[in-house]
Amino acid sequence: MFNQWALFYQSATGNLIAIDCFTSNANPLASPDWVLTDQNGLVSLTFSDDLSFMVAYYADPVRVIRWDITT
Amino acid sequence: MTTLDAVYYVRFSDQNTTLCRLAGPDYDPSHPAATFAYKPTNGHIRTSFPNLWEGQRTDVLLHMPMAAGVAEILDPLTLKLLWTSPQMPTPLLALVEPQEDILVLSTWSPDPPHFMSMVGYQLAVPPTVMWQWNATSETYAGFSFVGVARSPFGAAPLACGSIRVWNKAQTDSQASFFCLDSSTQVVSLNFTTSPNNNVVLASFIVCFSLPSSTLRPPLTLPFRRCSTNGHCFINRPQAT
Repeated sequence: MFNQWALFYQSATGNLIAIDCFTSNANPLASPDWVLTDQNGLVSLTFSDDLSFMVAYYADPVRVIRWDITT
Repeated sequence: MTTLDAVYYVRFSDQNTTLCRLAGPDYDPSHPAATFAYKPTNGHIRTSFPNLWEGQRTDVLLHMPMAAGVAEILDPLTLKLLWTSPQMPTPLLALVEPQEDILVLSTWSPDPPHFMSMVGYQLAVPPTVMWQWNATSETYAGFSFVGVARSPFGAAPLACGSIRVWNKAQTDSQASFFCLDSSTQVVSLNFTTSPNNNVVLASFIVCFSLPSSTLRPPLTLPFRRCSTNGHCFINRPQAT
């Protein structure tokens, strides 16, 4: 089984939010599937080929953090 | 770009640009195992980035010359040209899903009439068109293809993109994210992402492998943050 998300970064709150692409919700930003908080300064995300982790790049201060995705 | 048994690189000359494949054991640049010459795009800055994608399961080499507006399929060993996409008016984005069966070419026009287009191909030699989507805007608009979402329940894949449409004076714009059913071209998801430019698309996850039990809403994924010194700690996203 798998699920599919579009990820949006909300600079005003510093939240990274995930939207199910198959949702029927008319306003999915208001009720995302999950939220990763405290992502202030997030610039980009890069996923590993096997989707087991993602690398987040932040600005001010510049830093790189690896996030492991576990089930 | 390297594979298990080949190295691809680009060689420049005044007249043309040549894609080369080096083979082992010596990988001698002066004796490439195969070459493919193509005309460089006028005004294009030379780059050593070959813009290649190798489909190891489909056994094709996808070549997208920078700013040329075409995608090409080459034989990965001989570099023989097997297929060239229709010419696109602007630099295009090509994407092959991890399953290596879908190729999507997209384009948009910065000049009037402002149109946007994306074409989904069944990746083979030659590729066959599976679906096509076109749209126009009376005002300046930008479009980017984002990805293909596959249904876990057997529904048709969704083709997703992001559109930014400007007002007539080009003083303000609004961005939207949308997905359309690839079989019917009916928009199934469409919402504004940045009325105040405070929400931007961060990434598009093609798929996650998950135990079915974790698919029950609300879906919560545990993330483990790892620092460079090897220490990790759990940071569980906030369920909604």
